[in-house]
Amino acid sequence: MEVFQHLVFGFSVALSVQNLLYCLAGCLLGTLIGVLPGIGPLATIAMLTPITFSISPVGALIMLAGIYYGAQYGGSTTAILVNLPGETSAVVTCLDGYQMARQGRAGPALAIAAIGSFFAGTVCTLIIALFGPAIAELALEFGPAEYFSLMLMGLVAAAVLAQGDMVKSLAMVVMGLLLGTVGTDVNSGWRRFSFDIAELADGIGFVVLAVGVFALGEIVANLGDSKKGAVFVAKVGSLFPSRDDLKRSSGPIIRGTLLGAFFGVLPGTGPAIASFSSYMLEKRISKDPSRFGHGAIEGVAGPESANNADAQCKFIPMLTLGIPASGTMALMLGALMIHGIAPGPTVMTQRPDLFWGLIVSMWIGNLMLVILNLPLVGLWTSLLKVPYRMLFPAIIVFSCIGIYSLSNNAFDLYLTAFFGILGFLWMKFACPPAPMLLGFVLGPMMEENLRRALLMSRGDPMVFLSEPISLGFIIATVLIVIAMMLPALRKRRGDITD
Amino acid sequence: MNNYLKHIATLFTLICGFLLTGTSVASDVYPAQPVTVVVAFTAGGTTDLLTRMVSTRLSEQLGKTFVVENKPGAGGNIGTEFVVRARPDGYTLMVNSVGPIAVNPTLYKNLPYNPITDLDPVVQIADVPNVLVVPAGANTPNLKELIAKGKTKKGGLSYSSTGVGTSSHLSSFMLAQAANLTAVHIPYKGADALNDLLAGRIDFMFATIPSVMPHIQSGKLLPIAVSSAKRSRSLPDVPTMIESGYPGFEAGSWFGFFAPRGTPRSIIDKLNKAVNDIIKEPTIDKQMVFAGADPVGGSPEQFKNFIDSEFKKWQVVVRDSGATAQ
Amino acid sequence: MKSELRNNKDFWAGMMFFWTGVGAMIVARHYPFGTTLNMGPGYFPMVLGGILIVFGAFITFRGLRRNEKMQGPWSLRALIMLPLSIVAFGILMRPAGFIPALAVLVFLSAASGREFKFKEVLFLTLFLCVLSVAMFIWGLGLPYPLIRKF
Repeated sequence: MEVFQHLVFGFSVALSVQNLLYCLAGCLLGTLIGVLPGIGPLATIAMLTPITFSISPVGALIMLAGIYYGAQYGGSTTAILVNLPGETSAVVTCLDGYQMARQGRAGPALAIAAIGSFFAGTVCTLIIALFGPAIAELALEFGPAEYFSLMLMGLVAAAVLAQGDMVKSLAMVVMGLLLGTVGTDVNSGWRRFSFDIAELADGIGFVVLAVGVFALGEIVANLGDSKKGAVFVAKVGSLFPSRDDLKRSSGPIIRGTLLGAFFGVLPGTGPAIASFSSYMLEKRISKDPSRFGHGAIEGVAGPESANNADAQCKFIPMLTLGIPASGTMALMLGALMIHGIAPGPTVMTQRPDLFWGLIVSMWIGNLMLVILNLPLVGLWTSLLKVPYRMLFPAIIVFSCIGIYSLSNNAFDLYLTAFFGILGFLWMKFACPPAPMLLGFVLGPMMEENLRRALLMSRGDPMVFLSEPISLGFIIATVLIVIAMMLPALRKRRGDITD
Repeated sequence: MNNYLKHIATLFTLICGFLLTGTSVASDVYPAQPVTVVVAFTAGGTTDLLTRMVSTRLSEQLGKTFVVENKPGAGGNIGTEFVVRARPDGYTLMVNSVGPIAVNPTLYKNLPYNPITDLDPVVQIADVPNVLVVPAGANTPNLKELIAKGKTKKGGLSYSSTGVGTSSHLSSFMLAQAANLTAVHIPYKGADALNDLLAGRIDFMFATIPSVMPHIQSGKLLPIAVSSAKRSRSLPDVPTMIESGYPGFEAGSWFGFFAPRGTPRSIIDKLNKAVNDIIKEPTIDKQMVFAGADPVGGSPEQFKNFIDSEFKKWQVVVRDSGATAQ
Repeated sequence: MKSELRNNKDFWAGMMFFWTGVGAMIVARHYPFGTTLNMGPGYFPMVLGGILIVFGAFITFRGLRRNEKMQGPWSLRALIMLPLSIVAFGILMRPAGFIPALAVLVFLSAASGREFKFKEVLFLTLFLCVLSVAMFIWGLGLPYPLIRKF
């Protein structure tokens, strides 16, 4: 098979000592910055790009890519350990991963996260190798109408899955949608809710919101708890996942990978959607959904695989079509251009060493990361034994530096402090933050695509039903709503209390 | 207890060390310290990358690090305002482009500063022409066909842009105005504009050359005109809008170095000379052209005159198009 | 009744939703609304604000009926000091430089906890400063001056 030949060729490129070193450097650096909130692959790659001018383009791309997916691995580490999402996509991992850490099960959580990510990375490498260009072409079929319908389905599914206090969850989704409108409206150029503060003209940063609400709010709450005393976690259990853990995780890992690959290929989706969808899916099909939010390992296995698959597959539109799916991708694209390479369909034929070398190196990078991260689990869990009164200032320090580095602007910090207070209050009022975050992420995209689709169709609302893909999602949405209402019609839902 | 003393000693040494490095040395030789170059956009755009390239060379040439600091937000206003308010001692500079300098004063109603008067132009680095592109499958291989389609298609043509009030939006508006076309503007955030264009859901777009180069080379997008006065060196076979029958049509992007108003003339001249030399270097020249930028250079006066004319031109276009950022 | 309201979590949740919705609608009423098929920038905010008001009212009344208490203890000190420390860091970064800002951050945040041992905090400050400088300034090359003269 031709692909097999290409892969062999790719191995020959990726396994050169130089490129292996670049890969390792990228992965290490990526893990480090993934662990730190705020500083993301974007800032790092930007700062390192000049260095890459002096090395070969293949090496440069391998290293930059290593940073990128290395950050995914690192981001989940702090999410699990201290409820601090180091990366946007790690937010979902906070939900159950952190609860697992509280129960002394940080080891298995970290291990499963690494294993799931590696599986996803492997599968996606194969997908890219086999189907890359074809998938990219298919992704072009997604226009604003399709994106809107897809996100509508996602939002409705989320509402359906709201557990516990349904009314408050829905209200929080709306709150998130509203927070998402802060900033410049793409379709009209109007600045909404910015109160003449220039920094708000681009909206509230996701990291600022997530770190404030999750990490900061959590710390404030912990400090109030006199029982917590000296150490954060009473006892750290075994470092390894049990057989039961592995059994429970296998399904979510596979499903998460497929889901992540799907979203990864679509350039118009953000980083958090893949992990959110996986979480919702696992909760939906679980035999005991009430475990979610309290340390269900499926809530870590699925989303972690999904976000790694998403990150890797986002390379497809970039490499094969030259469409960057995120800011980081745009940066890598730019770096390539400076090196004199124009990504696109021609890259596969003109620079096969670049294309296949990169693909194989991505798999090697995943392997390196799993080998790096599994032993580190022991190190990380021992960090948890540090007395909390010394640990939490460290968390605050890294969060602050990371967030400040986003735009080199102190305003982001003020905003984080504000959301920290809000996050704490929300905890006290029993308003779940996860639905809010989902609304925050999906809302602006939904609105943007809805209005854009209507603009393009010159005001014809039928555009959502006349395009086949869009129609498919709308039908699925209706089905979901019906499926939710059926049990309600049969018996009154008695579980609306907390 | 011994441990404790060791820590105090370390702290003391460190503080001494930092104080020494942080002291500003009064000197006649510029630069005597690292220089901050502010870019008002997020890391990764072409402006940012080319700035980093030039800054690296400046560091080598002038002997002190030129550090790039991104201060994105509000269409470039945050970073611009920051430099406007910085001390004019030559240690805070900025690389800025057409939007925040020439367009935003008209676009934004209450800008608390005036980039034309509050900044001293140092040197124009390059022109970044906009190129008019259409999807390959759209059957509009040249400007005439595009306009013809515009007159006959129901609902008119649609064009994408990188945002309301950007040069990509305003250039397209200028075209629609000049050719008397109905055209619907579909704004996007930055690079998202390409997706629907490639798929053929959008009819045309004025994009900066770097952002669409890969697609032009792969044949997915056809360049049918460039918006600069002269043909672009990166796309020498593409006619200009003027050549295509629209005299006076000139609408592109550009970027250059700026300093806060009042920066000493000697420093400005020194920087000007250094940058002019750098952009003539073959490697830099090649990288810029490949990315779609045409190196320009010139004197600070030339840059100032250019900016003034740009401001006047865009003022008219913005008013006509009704674009605002409230 | 009064003291019960103070701890009534649904009451507060509902009030928060309600007034947020009201606030949103007040601010957004100046944005062009448009029509459903040609939405303006004000459409979504107004609609969302309205929905929040409805939810808020519902939750408030439900709270008054059910009267569920808020769980867990509060630390007013943490709630004030911690955000304050972050704000201080932000304010100090430009004028004072990286290290002084960090030092203040560590001190203030450590002070927001229940346990505060001065020598320990001093050591922690030192440790975190050195570590941060190593990782961020030297390692990652972030362009922040370490100490500035006022």
